[in-house]
Amino acid sequence: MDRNQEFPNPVPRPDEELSLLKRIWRPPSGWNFITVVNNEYIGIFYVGTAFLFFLLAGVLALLMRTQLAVPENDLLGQDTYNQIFTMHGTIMMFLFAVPAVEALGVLILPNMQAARDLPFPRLSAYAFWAYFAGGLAFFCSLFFDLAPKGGWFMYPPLTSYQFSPGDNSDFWLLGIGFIEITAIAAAIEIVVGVLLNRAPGMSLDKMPIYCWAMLVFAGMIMVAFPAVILCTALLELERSFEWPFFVAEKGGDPLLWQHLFWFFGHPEVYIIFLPAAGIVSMIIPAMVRKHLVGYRLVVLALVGTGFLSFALWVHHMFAVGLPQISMSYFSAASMAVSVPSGIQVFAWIATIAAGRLKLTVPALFTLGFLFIFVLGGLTGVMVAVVPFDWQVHDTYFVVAHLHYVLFGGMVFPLFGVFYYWAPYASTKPLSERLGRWVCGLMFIGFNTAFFPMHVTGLIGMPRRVYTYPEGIGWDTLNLVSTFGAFLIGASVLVFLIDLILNFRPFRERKAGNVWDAGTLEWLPGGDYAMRSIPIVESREPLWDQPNLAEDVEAGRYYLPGAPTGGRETIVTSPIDARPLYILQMPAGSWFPVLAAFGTAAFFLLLTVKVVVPALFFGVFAVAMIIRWAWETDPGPNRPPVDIGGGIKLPVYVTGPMSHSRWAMIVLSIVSASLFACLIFSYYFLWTVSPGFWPKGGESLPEMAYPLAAGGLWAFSSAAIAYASRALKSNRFWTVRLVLLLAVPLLVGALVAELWGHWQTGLRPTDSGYAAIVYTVVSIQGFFVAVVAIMGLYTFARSACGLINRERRATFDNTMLFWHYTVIQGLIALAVVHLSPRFLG
Amino acid sequence: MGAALRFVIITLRMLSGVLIWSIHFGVIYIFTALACARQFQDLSWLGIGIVPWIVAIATVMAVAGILAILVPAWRNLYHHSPQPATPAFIDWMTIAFGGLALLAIILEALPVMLVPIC
Repeated sequence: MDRNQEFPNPVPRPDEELSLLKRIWRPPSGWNFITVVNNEYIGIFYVGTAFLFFLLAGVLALLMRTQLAVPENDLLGQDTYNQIFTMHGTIMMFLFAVPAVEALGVLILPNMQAARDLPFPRLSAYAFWAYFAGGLAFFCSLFFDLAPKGGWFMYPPLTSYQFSPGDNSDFWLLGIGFIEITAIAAAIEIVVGVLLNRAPGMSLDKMPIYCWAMLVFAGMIMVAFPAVILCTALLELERSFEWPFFVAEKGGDPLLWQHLFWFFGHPEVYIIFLPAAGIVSMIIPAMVRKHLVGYRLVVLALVGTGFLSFALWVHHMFAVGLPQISMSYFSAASMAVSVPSGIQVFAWIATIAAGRLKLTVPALFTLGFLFIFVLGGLTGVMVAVVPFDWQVHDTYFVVAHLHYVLFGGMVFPLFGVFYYWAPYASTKPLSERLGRWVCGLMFIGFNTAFFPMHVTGLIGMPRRVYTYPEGIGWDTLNLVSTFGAFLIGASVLVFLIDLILNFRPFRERKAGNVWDAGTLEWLPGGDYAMRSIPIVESREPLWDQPNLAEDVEAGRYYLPGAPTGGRETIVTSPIDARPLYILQMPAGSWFPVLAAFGTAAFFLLLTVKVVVPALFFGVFAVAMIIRWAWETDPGPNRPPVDIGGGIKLPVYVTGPMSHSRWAMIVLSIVSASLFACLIFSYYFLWTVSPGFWPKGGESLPEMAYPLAAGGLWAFSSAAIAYASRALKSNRFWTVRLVLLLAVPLLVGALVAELWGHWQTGLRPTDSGYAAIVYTVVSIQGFFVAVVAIMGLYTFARSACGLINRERRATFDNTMLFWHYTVIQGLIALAVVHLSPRFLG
Repeated sequence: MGAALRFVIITLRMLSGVLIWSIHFGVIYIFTALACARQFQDLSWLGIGIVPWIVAIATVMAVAGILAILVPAWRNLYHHSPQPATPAFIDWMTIAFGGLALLAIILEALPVMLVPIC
């Protein structure tokens, strides 16, 4: 039988098809190279920057270990040491670990799923450049004695205005809050990318484990990160304007910070670990050339861990005096989460046992990971036992535990994957010989540095002390730990030499599939990813579908060219990956880059209280984002295109399967998580300080104010729904008029609510109650401002003839967020006005 | 049924076990915190305190809810003719998430019989 009949497209393909594909996906040259958006370029920039922060935070670690090598050392002063340990933890957690795994997702996911890129490449570029600029500026605070010094979890009251005057803590609060926003942007990209940009046939049950891990990772970011954004905002409000959220004598409570921070902070551990676990689940099968044992169980473990990890936050707070039964719930949950973690470990061991492990460098790192992570997991179960935790709380035992979990659970797999995926991105692989030195030095160094810390902690050495007296049994242990730390430093140095000698990215030809692995990122290709988009029939298609790579390269599968004349990929259905439509993707642009630098400048200038220039850059960033958005939503500008196999796909859709609609829904979930944390804060303060709440409604605004506000918001939502109907019949002037009228309704409702509280004499500095009420209003105000800008933007597009009944994705997205904001506002009104009246 | 709606329904069903677990956990944690903060933990009925009562009721409801979803998925998977791979995977995951959630719910509810409340 003619082989051509087995595939969607016949070969040979026309000569000009490949050259067109190459031309369309070629990155810009010269100065414009900075505007590149291709995932392979942004991904490598992103990984490289994350690794740079790993090096910088590593240098800080070596400084700390040098200081602690001998007792009563005066190398670093107390204040400098405080800044260094705070920056070490903060950079490792926020600027290295999360961005590194996000970066790998941007780099690898599209190719692993046989998509040409993730669905919002400019969003990836924006997130990267904002992180790059903001992160470097944050690090530089160390050189000006401006670095934060309250520990990576920044507990108030130590970090509030009374005990930490100056700008140091503000750098942490605004810098980290802002970097979390960029992490959320990348997470939105990953969620939509994993669900909608998979190769045809790659149904949920055939999705590589790494894709599952990244989906869970991004979902956890959506729920967890808003908590830290909220608590940083609350502490910044307290520091800048003395709104007393955390001041006990005014009805605040420092424990509110701990609840919010650890609601983010504990899932953060798994946010870092799960992608690394996904990486291990890719490396081990490739190294034993066997399918992963227990694929379904590993998916269960990833998703189950993602959920259970949200019930662990109090196990960081066992020493603060919570009810005994509450601690038991969290202790039980902490032990329950070890079940899915154990499932993964046994699945990896079974996979290794099922084949013959090739002891390559990625495999060695994986074995190192297994050994260290299991030890970290065991000490994790130990600290989940409340009485034991009380004994070792705030000692070096916890430092040892967290490094075994995080360094073992994330850094070892990361270095393993540097060696594993280097041939994917570089013309030659990294050196096996040097890699063995890296792995050996790192493994020995790590255990030499951190294993003794268990003992140091058990015999009483507290965390965060800058020195200690001699002769109390800590001297030798600390010296050994310091020696181990320098061995880790030596391993990283050897890795840098390996990179310099061998890593050659951004070239047309790559070293390729040197491991004979089975997943799609190893398909041959170029800047356009792969020549054609295959039909996937198994989890390791390169093992199970003979000649797949050659057939893809020959253009036999879907979309072998660029039928729209621009960048494009296939959007598939989220469950069974059926082709739905062609997503037209943007090329590089200066607008996301400028918006990123504008956003970073806004936050950093605000940190040092340079308000007017900060506002200028804020407005500039918003203008750039609007200009960038203006080029999106192309409409059905072409007839459906033939992707092969008789399938014709539209080049534009609106409605439930629009990828931008999915992004908007994800953004709404992030917003809802932020709002839920805010409402939790309101009721938490009510629970701990009921005396500051108005009794039976006295001193509350008259009900006329919330009723007016609620009515206006509801009316604005109804008006937008009416405009949506008008758009279906192309009544453009009705749509424009309604948009123009609905924006003042939104703003008017907010003014009514604000004025209602103000005229009662309540001021946000009065008490924790007053502060949280004004915060609810302020956050609703932020949402109203965003929706008002979206409404005016939609009006402008309509006025320019860019919106009609077929081309209405912009309108639909504005409407979705409008309705969300109104629902949130109505709930806020009910909480603020009804709770004090009914709960007293 | 559209692809988006189908995704929502299937995802909610597949994750129903762990979603119920999260509601259960939230209810028992918040109620206990309120009882201790507002000092009504000593209220009792039939000699059993209000917190154990609430934890028990929430646990029974959660377990019943999970079983109501788990059992049909079990029947689909093991008592009907062989399914295509993707629906079978979804049924299997529904059962597995339900099982994990049952384990976590029972583990978290047990301390109420062993530990003082506040």
